[in-house]
Amino acid sequence: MTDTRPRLALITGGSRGIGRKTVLALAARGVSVIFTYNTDRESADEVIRAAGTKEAKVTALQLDVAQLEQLPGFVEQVDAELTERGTDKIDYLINNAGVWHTASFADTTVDQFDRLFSVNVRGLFFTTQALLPLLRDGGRILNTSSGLVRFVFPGKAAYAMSKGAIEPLTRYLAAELAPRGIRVNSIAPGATATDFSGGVIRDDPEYRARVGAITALGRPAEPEEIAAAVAALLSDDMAWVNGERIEVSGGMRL
Amino acid sequence: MSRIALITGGNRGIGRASAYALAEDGTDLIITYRSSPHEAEAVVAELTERGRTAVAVRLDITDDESFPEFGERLRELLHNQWDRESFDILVNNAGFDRVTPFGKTDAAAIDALYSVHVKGPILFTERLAPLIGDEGRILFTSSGLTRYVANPAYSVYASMKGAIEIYAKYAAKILGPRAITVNVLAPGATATDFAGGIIRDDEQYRAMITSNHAFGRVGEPQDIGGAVRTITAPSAGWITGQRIEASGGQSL
Repeated sequence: MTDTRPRLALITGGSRGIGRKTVLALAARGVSVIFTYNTDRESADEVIRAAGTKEAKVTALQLDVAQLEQLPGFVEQVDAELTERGTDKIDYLINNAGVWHTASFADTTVDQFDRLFSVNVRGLFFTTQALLPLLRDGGRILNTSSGLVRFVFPGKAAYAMSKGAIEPLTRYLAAELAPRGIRVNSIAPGATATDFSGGVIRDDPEYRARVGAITALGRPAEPEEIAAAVAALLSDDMAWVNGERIEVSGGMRL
Repeated sequence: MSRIALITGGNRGIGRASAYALAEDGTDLIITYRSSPHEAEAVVAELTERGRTAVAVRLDITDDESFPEFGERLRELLHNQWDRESFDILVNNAGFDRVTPFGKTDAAAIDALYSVHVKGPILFTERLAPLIGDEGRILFTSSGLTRYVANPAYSVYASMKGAIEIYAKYAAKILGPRAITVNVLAPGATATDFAGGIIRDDEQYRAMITSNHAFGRVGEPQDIGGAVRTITAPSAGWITGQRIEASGGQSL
């Protein structure tokens, strides 16, 4: 059951946070990676250097998943990248790119709401659709939801709704793509020490303590812990898990 | 140092496949069996062949009065075979089914299902918890049947499995300070001896239960064994209090 054939992963939003650590975790396992970044080429280059592995090639492509008109050109770029690596298909598509916004329900504006849905829902939906021809039969899609879909932190209503939309999509894709042998699941990270929410989970000791108090494992996650779970969930061992939402939160708000 | 896993009902079906999957990662095994010592010995022989240290111990998970003695025996075993005071992974897998057609549910069936799927695993886990090392893994086995109704006659079976899902969530919270993760694996219909082998052997029954399935087939024991290995792996340390279904996409 050990993965032997070389695999290729496409990860959206790989220049920082959980995406960055996922690039590194997969590269360390010998998976070659194409990841996207939106604006920060410098960070993307840093990820490529950090991956620095001989056996697994890592490259970055610019993509704003909210700009749907970019998709045809992006798919061409991915295709060219695959050809260059002597393959023609993606084994793992990890939809990680996303934006967050904090505002009380009363204060959330239409623009904020639209931005969340444009990236987290529309962007993920149509990026996945555009990449379908490049996805290998028997491959995997892993969508990134959020623990906030299940439990409430005031100020994240619109964000949680946008992430929640991914969960039924995951089940529908699991059913619709099964004829191609493609497994589709979602992970729902809990509070993780990244730039998310202005870096408060990473940087604010008082906030971290509050998260720890409501988490079975007693603290927020480090992004590499989520990345390790992502890599594990993509293993061939998990091929019979399909259409599932797996929370990776260390037991938040159990 | 090898990790050590204890799998109840490791002599056949999903338990055996889980033992083989864990062995591939270099995990040593203690498997329990209830009534088939020869099957258990064959599994131990196979595991030994694969270079693992493996031991089979008899256990009736419905006989909670035997647990203190089992615990003592396990302590000695860990000491003698591995020179350790603890083990790393507990997979509560042993179980059996009883059908309970509505209107004909029999009290003895409820009691039997309760003993094997709820009372036994709870008391067994609590008895063994002090022997599970920090950062250990506990896995309870539920069933896809807690989410969907594939066969109405499994009402009580599924209810008991549902009960253990909730217990697992509490145990995850309670054992969190020791960084022990507690999760539930919920297999879908799997081709084993379960229910007299009907899922494996009866084509018509199989067709009935896979009519609403993404892949249109039932699982094989090794499909589930792989999931057991992944969820109990060191890399899954941040997954706790979860129910993870391995059904291939039944009744989506």
